[in-house]
Amino acid sequence: MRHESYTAFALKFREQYFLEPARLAEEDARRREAAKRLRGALKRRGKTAEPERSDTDTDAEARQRDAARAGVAAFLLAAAILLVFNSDGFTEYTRDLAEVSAGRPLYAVAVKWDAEMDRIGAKRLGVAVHRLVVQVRAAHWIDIAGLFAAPGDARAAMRGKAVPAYTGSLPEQGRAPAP
Amino acid sequence: MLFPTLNFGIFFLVVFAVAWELRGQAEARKAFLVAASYVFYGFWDWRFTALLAASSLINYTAGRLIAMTGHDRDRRLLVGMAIALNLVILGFFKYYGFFLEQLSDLLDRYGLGRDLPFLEVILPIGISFFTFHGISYVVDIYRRKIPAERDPLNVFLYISFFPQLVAGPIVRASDFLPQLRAEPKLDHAILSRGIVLILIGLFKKMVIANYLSTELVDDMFFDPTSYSGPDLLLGLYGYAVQIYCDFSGYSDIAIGVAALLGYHFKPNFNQPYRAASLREFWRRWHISLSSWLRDYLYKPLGGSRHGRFNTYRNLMITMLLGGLWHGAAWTFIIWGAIHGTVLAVERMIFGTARETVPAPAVMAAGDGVVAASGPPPGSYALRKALGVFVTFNIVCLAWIFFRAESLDYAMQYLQGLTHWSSPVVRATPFLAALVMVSLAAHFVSEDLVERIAARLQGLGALGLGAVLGFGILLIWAVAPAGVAPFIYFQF
Repeated sequence: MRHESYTAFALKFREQYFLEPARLAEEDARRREAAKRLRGALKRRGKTAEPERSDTDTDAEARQRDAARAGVAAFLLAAAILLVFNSDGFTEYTRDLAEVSAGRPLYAVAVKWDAEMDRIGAKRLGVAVHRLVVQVRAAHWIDIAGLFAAPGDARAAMRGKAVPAYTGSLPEQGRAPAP
Repeated sequence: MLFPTLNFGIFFLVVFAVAWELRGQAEARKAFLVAASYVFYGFWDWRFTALLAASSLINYTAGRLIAMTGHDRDRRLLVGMAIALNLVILGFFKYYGFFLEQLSDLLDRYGLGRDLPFLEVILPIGISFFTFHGISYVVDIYRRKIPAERDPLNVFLYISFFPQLVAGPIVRASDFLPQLRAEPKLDHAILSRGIVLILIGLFKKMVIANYLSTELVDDMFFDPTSYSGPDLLLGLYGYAVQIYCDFSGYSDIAIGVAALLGYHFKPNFNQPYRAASLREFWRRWHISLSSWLRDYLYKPLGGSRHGRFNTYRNLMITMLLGGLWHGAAWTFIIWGAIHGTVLAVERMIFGTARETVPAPAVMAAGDGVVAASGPPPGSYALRKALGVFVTFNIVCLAWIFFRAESLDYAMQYLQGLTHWSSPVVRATPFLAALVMVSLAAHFVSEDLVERIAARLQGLGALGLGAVLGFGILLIWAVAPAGVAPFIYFQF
């Protein structure tokens, strides 16, 4: 019984993996030969063998093509924006590439580009945002209390000046000592 | 290759352009995407691309053999062998050292200690994910949910497709393979949705997760004895937000990148911290893993079909193995045990009811008729809020074990949470606001991404490019320096 099932399995395997692919390949060759003959005949009569496509197919394909082009355009524009406003990032990236001689010219271009962007002020936007974030990160609870205090209140006067013993977690300010 | 790097940006630009140029040639497109996925994977360590190829080949062959076999017994044998082979590969790379250490400890305890063949085994990135993809493929063929693929390219692409290769989401073969047979779709709606998802994912990872990691969580878990209870509590809530933003950020980028290439992935997270029960939490957190565990582990174990005791046992086994899947350490097993126990307790109390907090009377009503059943709205809101609070804190308790380097550190952290007399040193307004705002964001509308994407849809290519470019610029300027790897890469 067991032996029979293995034989059946082997026969099925042979059928599926040897006979069936051979039959399919033969059919495919026949079909291609027929298509070639048809194309030859149509060409001789001055016609084309391309199947006609419906308007819906063509519209869908056109939409797809437009969207793909829009995607590439959007990515290229995003890359250009980053190249102009974040030229530091480009320099950092090419610095790693400069470890091999082929990457050195690109690094030199990136450094020049960065200096140029600095000169025209394109980097100011990123710097301004970063400065704002640094201020927010450095804020203490007393600053927050000062925001809600009345103008004459002592807490309002302390805003931005207080440096409590703790809560200094900015890396550039050094870590607060552990209690 | 990490998503938030210039290398990936250049790689994706090329892949996107070429893949859509090949849209009319299905086989060439698939071959190109497989090659791109291997480049993406090989960028980390090219030697492991052979492992990825071997895993794909094993599952392709197993799928073909299962499909060819008519006898149920032979099919069962083949699927069992395929699963075992997948698990042996995973087990060797992921659990070899752990089990040998445990065995060595056990032998030492009984005075039988000897030299064991310890090896420095490098964990191939994403191995847990591509193993689960492989198992999903062969089991679905065995269950006759999908036909076995004749074209090996389909299986190779399913297992290695780069957006989901290293950290999920765990895409089901029955969801992905039919998409390979259809023509991939891209329009302005998909384009804007993909870009919005990528930007949101980058913000979650680069800004929220990275700040919380570098300025709060890492130090707290490195030395919990140095901090006060309030600091440790903020650190714990911070970790809950960090792991959510890190992993859901990765999933958002993966889903967005796949969408831009014309493939749809199901959502992997859905505002998990608004869950009012642990069962609801698992319907919202790492959805692809929880549904995988449900369909390929919990249900085959018997699910809830064989009485109460067996249901609790099955829940426990599923969650323990879910914990072990995350890593070979007792801390992960305890994490799984906490989830398994609470899920079993919830089931004990609330039975099989889908919601642990029943809908209020007015919400249950339709067409202006007020239903008689259900609690009044005020009581509903209170119970819901209490459910959310309790669930969140149970999840956070389990996160301590998930994040701690060892059981000792986890216990130190737990003890530290009770010390409220020491001064608060790390809870700055910035970090507190980051945690609070991120948690509050769980309660905004669930379709926010869709609404933003719909607004951007009409902008055209230049508008979308400007949104993407300035969006990345802003994230870059706000985020801390450097790119930390994603947490789920280690799993």
